[in-house]
Amino acid sequence: MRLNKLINAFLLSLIILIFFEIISSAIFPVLGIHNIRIAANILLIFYLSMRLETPFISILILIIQSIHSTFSIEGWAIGTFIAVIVSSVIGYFKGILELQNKIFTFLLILLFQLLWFLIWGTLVYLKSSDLNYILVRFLYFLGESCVNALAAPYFFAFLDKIWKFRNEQSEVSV
Amino acid sequence: MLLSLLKDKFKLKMFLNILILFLSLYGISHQSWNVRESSLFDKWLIELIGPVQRLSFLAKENATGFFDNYVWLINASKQNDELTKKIKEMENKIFELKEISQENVRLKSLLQFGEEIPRGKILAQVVAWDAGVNYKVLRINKGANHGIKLKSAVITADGLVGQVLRISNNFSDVLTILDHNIRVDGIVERTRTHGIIEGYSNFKCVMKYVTRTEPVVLDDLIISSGLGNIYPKGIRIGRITKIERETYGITQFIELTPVVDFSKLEEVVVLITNDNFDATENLTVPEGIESAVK
Repeated sequence: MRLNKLINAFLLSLIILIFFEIISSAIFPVLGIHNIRIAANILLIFYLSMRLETPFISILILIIQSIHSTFSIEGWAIGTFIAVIVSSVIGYFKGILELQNKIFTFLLILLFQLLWFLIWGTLVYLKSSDLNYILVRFLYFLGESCVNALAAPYFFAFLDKIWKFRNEQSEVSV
Repeated sequence: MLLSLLKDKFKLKMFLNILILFLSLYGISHQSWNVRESSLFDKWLIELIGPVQRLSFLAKENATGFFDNYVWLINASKQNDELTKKIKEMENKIFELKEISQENVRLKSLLQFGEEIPRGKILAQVVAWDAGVNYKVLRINKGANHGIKLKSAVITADGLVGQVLRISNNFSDVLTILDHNIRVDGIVERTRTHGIIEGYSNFKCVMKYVTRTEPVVLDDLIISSGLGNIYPKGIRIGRITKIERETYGITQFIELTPVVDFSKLEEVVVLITNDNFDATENLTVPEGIESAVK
């Protein structure tokens, strides 16, 4: 994939990310949904880590998390730290990851979200030493991660169209 | 060396990953939960996105307004009669309260009490919540242009909401008392027991560091202590809904339900301390807001 095409596809992905962040931050609370958010930033990072073969993945993650930080007080740093680790793990298993099957995609996203939560929990525990809080958050995480995992196959199919991903091609190389 | 790094994609990837990891670790270690400085990019994006986020809340307001004002008008005249009666009763009460208030001022000056810190009040609307489920932060439609400052206390007529954590020109982010990263010094109104209030989960808070021997009971009211000079003293925070006292340990587990109904929060009042701020300019504070400050 040529660099200008990569930039165009990435910019389009960022617009979609902003759209989902607005839905999560403004529409969901209006509807009374306070404990579930569509983690579009996490899904987008998973997608790029699985599909894209580029050494600049960590920079793309940094940009995604910087945009997410304007919608969330979490900030760019903690999400970037976790995402780079998870992305590296995905990189090791890239050859055997299959995203064409919806059930497998669901399980895969669930698994990587669990890894994301484990790293997040460890960082929060190091800071606060409050295991109780992390355990309580884990219960809410289960519900939210299922929603994200269910949305993932459709989200990825949509991103496939933006990134012009074809079935015969396993990944986009830059 | 740099050339070989650029040629070898794997090495370049490793280098960038490690660089970004260290950069983010530095960011994590310097992250503050009292004050969050916004970068120019943050401010620009918040200003761009804020009005769009506000649209959904306006749409909800209009929709509920339509149903409240036009659709649900059954028994309106009956309610009108009852409300007229209530207004007359309230007018009598206001007259009595004015007398008490004047008496209070006289007695305070007589006892030489210090003047309360003058705080301006700015009414703001909630336009969005945090996009992350682990953080209980809300965005309001007033910012630096309206005189809001970092660490300003945010309240409603019912009680304490939180404090301003991040500001842009026309929007601010408020760290609520539901968030795990907030610390508010509170006291049990009945026993005057001190403790630190933190956000817990599912719209609940916990009061930490209360010794096991303190005789707190369910439904006790927790108010702000005024320590730290962020929140004025006496603002209602919540009521105790759960107490766990083990036979061991020094402290007890106290869970409280905030008096503010966060699920229905639409408007808040930001209290700002500024010598130059003219509080009389902002008289758009809803009635009853003073009752939050005891």
